[in-house]
Amino acid sequence: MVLGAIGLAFATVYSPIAYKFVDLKRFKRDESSV
Amino acid sequence: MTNDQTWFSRGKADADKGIPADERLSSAAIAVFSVLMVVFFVSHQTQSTGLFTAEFGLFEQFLFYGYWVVWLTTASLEGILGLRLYSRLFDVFGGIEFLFISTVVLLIIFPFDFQYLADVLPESLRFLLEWVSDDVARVVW
Repeated sequence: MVLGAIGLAFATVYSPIAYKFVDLKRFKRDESSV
Repeated sequence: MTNDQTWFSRGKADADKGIPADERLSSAAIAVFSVLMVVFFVSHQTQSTGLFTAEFGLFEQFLFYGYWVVWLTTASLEGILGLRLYSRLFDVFGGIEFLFISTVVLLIIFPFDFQYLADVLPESLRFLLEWVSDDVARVVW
């Protein structure tokens, strides 16, 4: 359960990025344009 | 990728690429496994084997069986129905968060006694699960 909780905590943060709901490239582009 | 794309259109475009056969198969397997787990644990509960302690109340049941229902839902959407986008929306907007919270809460309350885990299996198969102690379950599950 400890390992499961760690994996799920990671999935909670990472899945929107992995699923393309969050676009990290866009954030980088926005920062470079400032 | 253009700036006017929304999170939804990006996610939809990615999901529309299709589901590789191996990923669809593994999702379908998770759906089947989830059903088996529900049957397995309901058997424990109806036979009062002792796996679930007195602390396994309504709230704990909601978290515990909800955990398997979440797996069943997301895996069925992707593996059986082929609806990857809906599966991912379900994951991100509630599914994974529920799995995380239920795991942490059940870890803290721990309404289980794993020495009885194998008790609903036939005698010849009990060796498969008899090695799972409370400590093993706390760490690995």
